[in-house]
This record gives sequence, C-alpha cells and structure tokens, in this order.
Amino acid sequence: MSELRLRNATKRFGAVTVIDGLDLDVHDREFVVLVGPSGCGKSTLLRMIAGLEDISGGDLTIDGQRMNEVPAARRGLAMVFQSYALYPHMTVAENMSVGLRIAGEDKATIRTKVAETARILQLEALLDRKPKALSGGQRQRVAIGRAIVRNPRIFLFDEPLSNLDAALRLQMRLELARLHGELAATMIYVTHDQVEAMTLADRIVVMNAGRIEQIGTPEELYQRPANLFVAGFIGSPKMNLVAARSDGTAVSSAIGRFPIQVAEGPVTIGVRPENIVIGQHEGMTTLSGRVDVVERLGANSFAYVAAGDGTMLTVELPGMTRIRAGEQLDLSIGPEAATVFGPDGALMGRVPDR
Amino acid sequence: MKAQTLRRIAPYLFLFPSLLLLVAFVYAPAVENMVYSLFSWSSVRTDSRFVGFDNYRELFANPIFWRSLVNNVLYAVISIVFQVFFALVLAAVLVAGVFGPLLRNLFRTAFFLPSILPVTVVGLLWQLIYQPTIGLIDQVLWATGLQGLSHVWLGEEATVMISVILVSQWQWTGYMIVLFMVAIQAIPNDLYEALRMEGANRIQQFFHITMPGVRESTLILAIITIFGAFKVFDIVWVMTAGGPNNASEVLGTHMYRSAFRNDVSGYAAAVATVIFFITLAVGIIQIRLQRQD
Ligand SMILES: Nc1ncnc2c1ncn2[C@@H]1O[C@H](COP(=O)(O)OP(=O)(O)O)[C@@H](O)[C@H]1O
Ligand SMILES: [Mg+2]
Repeated sequence: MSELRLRNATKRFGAVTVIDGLDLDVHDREFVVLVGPSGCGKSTLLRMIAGLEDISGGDLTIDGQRMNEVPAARRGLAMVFQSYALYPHMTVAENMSVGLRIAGEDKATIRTKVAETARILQLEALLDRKPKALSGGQRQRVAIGRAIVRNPRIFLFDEPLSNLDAALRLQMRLELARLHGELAATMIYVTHDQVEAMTLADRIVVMNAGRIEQIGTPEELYQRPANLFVAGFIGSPKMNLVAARSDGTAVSSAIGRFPIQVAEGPVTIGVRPENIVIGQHEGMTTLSGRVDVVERLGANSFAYVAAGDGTMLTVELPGMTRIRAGEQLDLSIGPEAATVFGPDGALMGRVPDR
Repeated sequence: MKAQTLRRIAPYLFLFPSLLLLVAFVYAPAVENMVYSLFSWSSVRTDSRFVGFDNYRELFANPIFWRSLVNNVLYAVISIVFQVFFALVLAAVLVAGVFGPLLRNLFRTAFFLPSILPVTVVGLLWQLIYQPTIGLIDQVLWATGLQGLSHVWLGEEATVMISVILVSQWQWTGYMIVLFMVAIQAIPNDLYEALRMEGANRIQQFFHITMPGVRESTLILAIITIFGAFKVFDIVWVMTAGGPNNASEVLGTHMYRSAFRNDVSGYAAAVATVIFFITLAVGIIQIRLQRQD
C-alpha cells in the first residue's frame, strides 16, 4: 500500500510563496502526473515530497504516517532526476546498487536485485560500463533502474524524458507505461509536456503559479476543463477560445450565436478543433472564414481559419484534405461542442450536458 | 592562396613571442646551468675550469645537501597533509553548507587572507609570534600552564624546520581551500541529492561523490604543492636563512648560499640541476597518473 496525502502544503523561499496551500491525494498504484508551465512549482512540490526541500507549512503523510520531518532516505521513495544524476565514476551495476550497499544489504541479495532490474530494463549488456559510455536513452534506463532496485513505495520522476530526442521520448514513454503496469508501482511524474501527461497519467494534476487548477483523469480534463487555464493547457493544438457575451438565453460572439443558457455578462467560448465541422449544417452555429495556413500531419491536418472579424480558429481536417490556403470555408459548430467560461475563467456550463 | 598560407602560419606567429621568451629566459638558461654545473668557476673571476662530475661528487658527499633534501621532503609531506587533505576536507565542509552563507564566506575569507600577504611580512610576523617569552605562542603556553612545552622555536635544531613549515601551511592552506571549493562546486548538486535519497550520510557523500569528483583537481593541486615544497626559498630565507647550524636548510637556500655567499657557482649550478630533475620526475608522474583516466 502506498497512499500519499498532502494537506495545505506550502513552500516559501524567503518572502516568495512557490507552493500555495495545496491539497493532493495519490492512491496506491496510481500514475499521477503533475503538469504545468515552467516555473509553476512542479519540481518544488516533487522535491518537498522527496524530502529534498523542507515543507514550510501543511502536512505530508504517506500511508498515514506524517513525513514532514522524516529525512529523505527514510521516506521509502526513489527519484529519477531530469539530469539522470548518475554517479560518473561508478559502473552501471554500481550505480544501481549503491543505495543497497549503503543500506548494508548482503552481496548475494544485491547481485540478484541488480540482475533482475537489469533484465527488466534490458541493461544486462551494459552493467560494467561507466555512464559516459552510454547513450541518453541508456542513461535514462539506468536512472530508472536505480530507482527500481530500491523497491520504493512511490516513484518520483522530474521531467525524466525532456533530455531525449523525440523518437526516444516516445519509446521511453511506452516503456514507463509498461513498467508502471509490470511493477504495480505508485508513480508521481512531473512534466511540462501535456502530451506526456495525457498519455501516461491515470490522473493529471494541472498546476499554475503554485496552485492546483484541476485534478482529473485525462478524459475529464479534456472534456470538462474546469477553467480557461486548463482549457488552454490541455490539448494540442489548443482549444479555440473566443470572447463572447451572454444575454441569458444565448451566447453571441465573433464566430456566431450559440443557444446556451448561462448567466448574463461577458464570457469566453471554447471549442476544440476537432469539434468544428466543414459545411453548413442544420441546427448548428454556422460561420465562414478564409483559410490562412493548412498543416498536414498525415493522419489529420489542421487549418488555421480567419473568421469574419479576423478571429483565428484552428480546425481539424482529414489527413488528405483538398482544402488549400486562401480558400473560403464554411464551418459549423454544434451547441454541444461549445464550452463556456465565466468572466473569472471558471467553467460555466455546457448545454446540453451529456 | 595567400590567405590560406597566412591561416596556416598564424598559430605559429601567435606562439612565437612567448616561445622566444621561454627559450631565451627558461630553456636556454636551464641547459646552460647544466653546463655550468660541470665547471669550477666563480662569478667574480673570468677563468673557469672543466671538472666533469666533481661538483656532483662533492654535492652527494655533503651532509648539508642531504639535510636540505630531507627537509624538502618533510616540507612536501606536511604540505600535502595540510594543503591537500585538510584543505579538501575543509572545502567540502564549507561547500556542504554546514554553516550558513554568512559564516561560510567569513571562514573562506579568513582562510584566504594570509595568501595575499607578502612572504616577507608573513616571515617577520611569525618571527615575532615564535619569539621566546614575549612571543604569542610562549605567552599562551605560560598562560595555560604549559610552559614545559616552551621552546626557542626558531633557535633550536629540533623545532626550527617544522616551525617554518607550519608557517607555510598557515599561509597557503586557505588558498588551496578556495581552489578546492571551486572544484567541488562544479560537481552537479543532483548527484548529492540522489545519493542523499539513497541514505548516504555526509561522509559517504564525500567519499562517493566529492572525492571522485575532484580527483583531477586534487592531482594537479598535489603536484603544484610538491613543486612548491621542492622549490621553497623565500620564507625559509626570511625566517632563518637555513639556520641554526643548517638545521632548516632546504635545497633552495643551500643553492643560494653556495652561489652568492660561498661563491662556488659550479656547485650551486649542480644543486639547481638536482632540483630540476626532482621536479621533472614529479611532473612525469603527474602526467602518467592523469593518463590513467
Ligand atoms: N531554491 C530556490 N530559491 C528561490 N526560489 C526558488 C528556488 N527553487 C525554485 N524557486 C522558484 O520557485 C518557482 C518554481 O520553481 P520549480 O519548482 O523549479 O518550477 P517548475 O519545476 O514547475 O518549472 C520558480 O519561480 C523558481 O524560481
Ligand atoms: Mg522543474
């Protein structure tokens, strides 16, 4: 069992509050991803959990035991650093076993554990190499191996893939997902990359400026972003966000009028690129615009369309679309495709609510 | 075509002035010195006489030479202990943040200060401190009831060399601490944090990360320390001039006295040649050790 609980967790560096009264529960065997823009405090939060930073206020408990004052080594956690932090003068085997050696495990146990971990990560052939003789992906696997060997209650990852090239990043992402299943491990994973968050997480924690904006499954965050920040952050390309006005019976904007009933006042309408359809359709809000750019990705394409008053909309198209830049395009948006955010940025309502 | 030629010879053009100076003032005199060491001559007479290895024979038969050599070795060993081992450990303690940033900077500055003082000033200062009865050390010994330990520190054969050597340690250990701090700070902090999470205490962190991380720097600083110990002259000359009774003689003072007091220049050149080969040997060992990485 590994249950982590943060209550009103706060971190101040001098007068600057970096983590601001944050509550979070991580359940046994869960893969939780902390995601947010650079500088929002993700690493700081992870390091508070790890015991590498003091907690200025609030409580951290693991399996019901208060951890605030417990030294890093005795929290039963293992961390994989962005830089990998491999000890340069030690071989791969020594890197993986140094924690066990410090703990005074006997040699036979250490050898078994290292061999088992090396097998899981396909590192057997590299055990006698020094880190500088390894590729980036291999180093990454050694860093993960070093964590696995210790059999921690919770694995902590701080942007572990951001030093890898795109192909390797994808491969390691799949490998991490596989390991999570295979080890039945609890993992907390920090990234600024929402694609990593969407693909790996059981639950995503979206952070912004030291606070949590929303916690939920990838589907929940995608389908029902709690606020403008999450709406803009989750999803690639971004959700279209257009300034609008509600009169209590409908919401009108530069891209048309939507029969959505929310409180009167200024609002923002959000529409995902894949929810905008080509052509004029009955029962939908229709508009027309000029295609600025078409990006072809193979399986799909994205058109960047300037609506009547110049408002830019991103529209998803089939991969082999004939639509070209410069063309005039008719578009329709169903009322169920539009999300409305209030003047404070919070989600207002989505009609009809499915 | 012309530009290409220029580009090819440009590096040599840049090197030429410094090479010229090196040859004129270092390599040529070094070779010349070896030639001189095979002659019997004096700086105030124009005639000189080829004597082969007579100067070396005389040298190796001279107990003062051996005493000097032993003193230099002692100098090197004690300097390694203070300026490499102690300095490394102290630097690690200071970098580790055991003290707050304010205390750390205070200590660093305090340790570093002696190294910017001129050697003559340091020598005179410590002559005062070592004075019998009125010197600081004797005063402290008397005040604490330890007067039995009192010595004429610079006047007794048994204590003079170690007294001078300790002054050098006082002057240079802080300088080495600062150099080691720079080397330690270049080690990524992640390594310490990773090992800390694995349960390593500070001493284990020192042996697993700091020591291997500063291996290269340590080697170089150790070699520089040994060089310095074999070439030492100024502090000894200022404090004791090799006395009493040659008890604090080192190769440097022995050579100087031979050349400029006893006016046996060929003999002095032989001493210089011996110093040269000792430092050369140390240098070769350094290069060998460095290649092992
Ligand atoms: N040791 C520190 N002292 C002062 N400020 C810090 C320290 N560490 C991090 N910060 C600040 O805390 C904020 C969050 O940093 P961090 O947790 O590294 O962000 P993230 O990992 O989300 O990019 C940043 O504004 C950063 O400047
Ligand atoms: Mg970070």
